[in-house]
Amino acid sequence: MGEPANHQGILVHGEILANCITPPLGSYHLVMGTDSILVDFDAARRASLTDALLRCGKGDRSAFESVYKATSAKLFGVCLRIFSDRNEAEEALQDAYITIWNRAASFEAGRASPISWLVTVTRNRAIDRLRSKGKAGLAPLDEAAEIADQSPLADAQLLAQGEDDLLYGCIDGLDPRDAHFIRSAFIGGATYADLAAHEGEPLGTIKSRIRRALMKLRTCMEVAS
Amino acid sequence: MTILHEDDMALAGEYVLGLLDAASCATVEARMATDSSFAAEIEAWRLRLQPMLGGDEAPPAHMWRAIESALPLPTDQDVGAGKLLFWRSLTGISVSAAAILGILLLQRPDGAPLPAPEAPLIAALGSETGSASLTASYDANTGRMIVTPVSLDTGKLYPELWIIPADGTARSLGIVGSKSATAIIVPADLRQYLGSGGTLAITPEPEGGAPGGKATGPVIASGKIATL
Repeated sequence: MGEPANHQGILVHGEILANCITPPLGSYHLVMGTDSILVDFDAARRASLTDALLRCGKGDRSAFESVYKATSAKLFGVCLRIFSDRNEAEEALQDAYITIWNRAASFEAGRASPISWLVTVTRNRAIDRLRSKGKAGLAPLDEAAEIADQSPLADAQLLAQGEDDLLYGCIDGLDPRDAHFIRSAFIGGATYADLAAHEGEPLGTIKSRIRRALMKLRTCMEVAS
Repeated sequence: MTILHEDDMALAGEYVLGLLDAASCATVEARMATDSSFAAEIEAWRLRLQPMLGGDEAPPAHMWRAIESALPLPTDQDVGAGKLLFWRSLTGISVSAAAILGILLLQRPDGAPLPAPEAPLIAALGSETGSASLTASYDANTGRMIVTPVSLDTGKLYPELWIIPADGTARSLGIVGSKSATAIIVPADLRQYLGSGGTLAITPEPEGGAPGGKATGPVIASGKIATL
């Protein structure tokens, strides 16, 4: 396995760049085209985010502000997905960033992409909050359609949208119940016990189903990409 | 590098979905630390599933000020303090707590310095969510481990400490205090597992400890053992 797949694709637009933290010069990858220069701002963005996160681990608050500016929209999106209530999502976001600050020194640049690490911390923290409020469990069934219908908001999301389509296309190929279980676990915090109780089936049966569905999903995504 | 089997791939997916119980979680995390192929599979699952976690939406402008004002106040030692800082930030514990533990390690109760021993082993135990953190120090000369909670709440259950060596099997070191430091004389047969690279983990368990020596609660804090 080499570099993780690129999920933060950014097309080159002046407006978008203004919102990015300034990438260090050394991390630009220039690719000569026939009549234009394509700058791999995605790699540059990842490198500068990695750098900022490492500096947060050393107590650098200005680096933390850079991380916030570059990622708060993405992480607020995560919180809104898990908490439909906006106030709860805002509390979860605040909680997530304080956790990120406290845990920044444990980020290992060689093991995870910075955005994957940030999303994981935010998702896990939000699910903990959901569970402690007794709100974890199966996601509403109609949420699948709602997620699949999301359209890109800007050109900058076109590349990311390709990744979304890959996941949703492959999830559409699963048994709808399995797809519902996977979504309920990931964004609803449902456990195997919750799923088994909901289905009235033995835990082992649910576990086998989900493991099979995960392998099917993995194969589909590998083939399609 | 190891060859991953389908079981490992599905296990990595279950881990990322948050479906695993405490014992499996601890095993996965211990393996991630030593098996780069498996760690890469976990990262790949995170990236695969990430689109499910919603699209971008800018938070309200007041959020940054709220977050900034909630950060712990910076201290003089916060910049460039090297190992202590790394250690502190690993668990979010304060530099002063780390310093106190340093004194515990280096002095006898009567204040006399210890004879130059084998380098003590330490571990900072935390969680990705930062909800629980502890420090542990271990002196191989005496077999004594001191476990100091920094932030630890297991409700009506009791925090049980586990050592997870490279083989991935969790072995209990007993229940520790959630409010005050606990000194443990590590049983002789478990001392072989306390070396750099092993993982310590905490799970909430019923009174008297996990039945049959198998963890029943989720891992709420874990950390790798390192030489101080």
